[in-house]
Amino acid sequence: MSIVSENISLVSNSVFISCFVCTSAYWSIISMRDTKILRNIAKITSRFATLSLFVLLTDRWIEFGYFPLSNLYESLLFLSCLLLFVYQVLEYKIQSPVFGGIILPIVLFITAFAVFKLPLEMQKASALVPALQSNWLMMHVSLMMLSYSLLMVGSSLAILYLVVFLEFEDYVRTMPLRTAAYEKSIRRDLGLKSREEYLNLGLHLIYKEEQDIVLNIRTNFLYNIDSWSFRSISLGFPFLTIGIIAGAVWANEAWGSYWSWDPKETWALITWLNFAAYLHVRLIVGLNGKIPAIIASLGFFVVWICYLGVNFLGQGLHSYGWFV
Amino acid sequence: MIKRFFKYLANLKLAIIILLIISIVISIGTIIEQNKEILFYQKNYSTLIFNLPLWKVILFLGLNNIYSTWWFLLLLGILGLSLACCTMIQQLPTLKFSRRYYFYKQVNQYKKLQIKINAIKVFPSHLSHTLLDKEYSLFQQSNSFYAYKGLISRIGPIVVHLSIICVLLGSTLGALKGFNSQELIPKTELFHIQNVIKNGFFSSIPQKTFRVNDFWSIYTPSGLIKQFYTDISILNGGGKEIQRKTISVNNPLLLKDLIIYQTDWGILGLRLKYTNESISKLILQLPISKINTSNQKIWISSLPSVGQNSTSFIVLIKDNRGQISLYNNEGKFIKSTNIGDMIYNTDLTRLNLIDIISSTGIQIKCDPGIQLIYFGFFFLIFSSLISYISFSEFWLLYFPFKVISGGRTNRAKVKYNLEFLNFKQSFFS
Repeated sequence: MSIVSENISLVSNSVFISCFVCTSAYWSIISMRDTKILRNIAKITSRFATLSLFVLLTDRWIEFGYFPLSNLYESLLFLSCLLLFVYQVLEYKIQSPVFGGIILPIVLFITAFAVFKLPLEMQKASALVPALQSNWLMMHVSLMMLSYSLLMVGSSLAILYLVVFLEFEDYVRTMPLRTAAYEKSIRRDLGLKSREEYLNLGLHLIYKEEQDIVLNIRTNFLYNIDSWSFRSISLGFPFLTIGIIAGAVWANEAWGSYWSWDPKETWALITWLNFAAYLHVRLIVGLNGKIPAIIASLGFFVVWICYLGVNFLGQGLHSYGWFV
Repeated sequence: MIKRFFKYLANLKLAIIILLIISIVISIGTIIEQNKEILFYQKNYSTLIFNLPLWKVILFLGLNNIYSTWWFLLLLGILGLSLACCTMIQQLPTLKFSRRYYFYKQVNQYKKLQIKINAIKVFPSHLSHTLLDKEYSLFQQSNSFYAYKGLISRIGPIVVHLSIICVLLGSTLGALKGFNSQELIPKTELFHIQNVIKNGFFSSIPQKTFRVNDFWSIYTPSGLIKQFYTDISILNGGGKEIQRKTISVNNPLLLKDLIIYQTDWGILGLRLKYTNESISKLILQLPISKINTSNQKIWISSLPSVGQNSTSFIVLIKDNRGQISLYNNEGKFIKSTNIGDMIYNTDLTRLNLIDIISSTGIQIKCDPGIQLIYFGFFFLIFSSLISYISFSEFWLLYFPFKVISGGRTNRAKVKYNLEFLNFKQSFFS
């Protein structure tokens, strides 16, 4: 027994706490104000969580001699570790608190589920069942996990895009009203009688310029979210394709059929079809923005059903993390 | 008329709608339990919809066996046809078009391009150096330029579609000509393919003879099953061995047209030796039955009392390690006995456990479509990666005091914009 596996609950609890601290730090950056201290807290805690998850999984790998993806507990931790890695890359590329504010709550939810909700027997490492004793395990499951994490990041960014976009649409729609309100208040404050006097002051031009700057910033923000959402989905999709194919080849070796319409397989196919539709709408039709974002945010729920929801059904061949 | 129909099928909107419908249909299949008896549906889906019980609707629409109903297969067929039409009508012509380099010689042709430059002068040698440096293929004709790169990405989506069609065709072939059978064979016995659970319209089942030479399992120190092995031989008509292999889960025996898998295992009975003073020796076989508990396999049998002094036992077997547990009739544990050991020994009679007869679950499958499917998989992996490479084009037309230039790309637009900034250095405006 190594030090890590003896104190596994301590390690996983500290991962949970650091994710919690990091999430609250990011949310206060986004909602209140951006200070250096908060940024540093977020940075340190997220690095700590990534590192300790990585150490925990590596330790399991060394101690039990197989890739740490044999049960639900390990796969949840593996997924959070991957999500944290994706987040670190995004954070490194663009220093925006948005990615942390979106990805860390997801990681927080996953670790909370793994640590507090899963029964203790399911958290323990046990021997690999015969069907999993194959080199395909590493290939298939790690690729699926990688694609899930990328698709989750991409589709959650699409959800953020939709929310911000709808608000932005509302903002643009009410802009003439606000301009009128501004004019009214200025005229009242300065006691201007006619519209001519107001226009002569030139205040409306300054107001318009300010509005343009706001619009510009928000459009840029939307554009960036949209393009990062597209990038991570378009990276995750080939991984999903290869992962499903690896699974099919493995199933043909272990179960005697490359495709058996098992619920997990079926939902993986639905995920694939969903994001295939997204990419077609995006690349072939050439639409950006709202319609692809709706499809991608639908994909967020589909990925979650595929990854976790199917386990609650308790039927089929992927019986490695059922609750029943 | 037919051409218009195919054109309609090639429509992307239709394809996306088909994808959506397929997604919804297959998700229904994960909610409603598949391939159960009618009684199960009658019990679980008895709610009334417009005075019609739900289970009748389910059975009528084939929702109990959704993945092989005719209308679902038809849906997959339409998807395949739509893919094929899209490839033939839309993708292949654009490939032909982009292989022929073509120049833009009219100014208004530049209007619809994504990026445009109007300048006074261009330095052609500098520009062509930059273009070639960026790995463009460059063509020149009198006063105009055309350059492109990433032509392979045009092939990518076509190959994606073709390989999906391959996979669909392969699975159709497998469904028509393949079969799947499951046999539970006691060790040391001969068998043929008998219990076919799935077969197609054109399947033919080979009359090969197989022999299970041995079956054994290995366990982890904590008592969980680690792996199970079957030593299997294939015999020819005369009973001579042609081929022999030890198969296990994840390690099947591949023949030319058949694949033999290790799937399950079981225990059929106990072999006992009964020794009496009057009868010298008697070999008995005790039947045994399996109890289905949630996650553990348990076999149970009862050993009746023989004679007056002996007791009766309940026999329980938990695994295939050669050990049985004996309980008395009150269910109290008495002892464990290994193969070869004595169960009881009185003055008159003796009972020995000789063997536990285990059986191995073998699945024999024939799938003539698998090569086609693997072929499709192989190309799908590569083409899905290739499809992300950008296809970028560049045009230029110059006159003595006027230069017009433009370009477009289909994937990485930001990167192309940066490239274009490089090209701009060759212009004087």
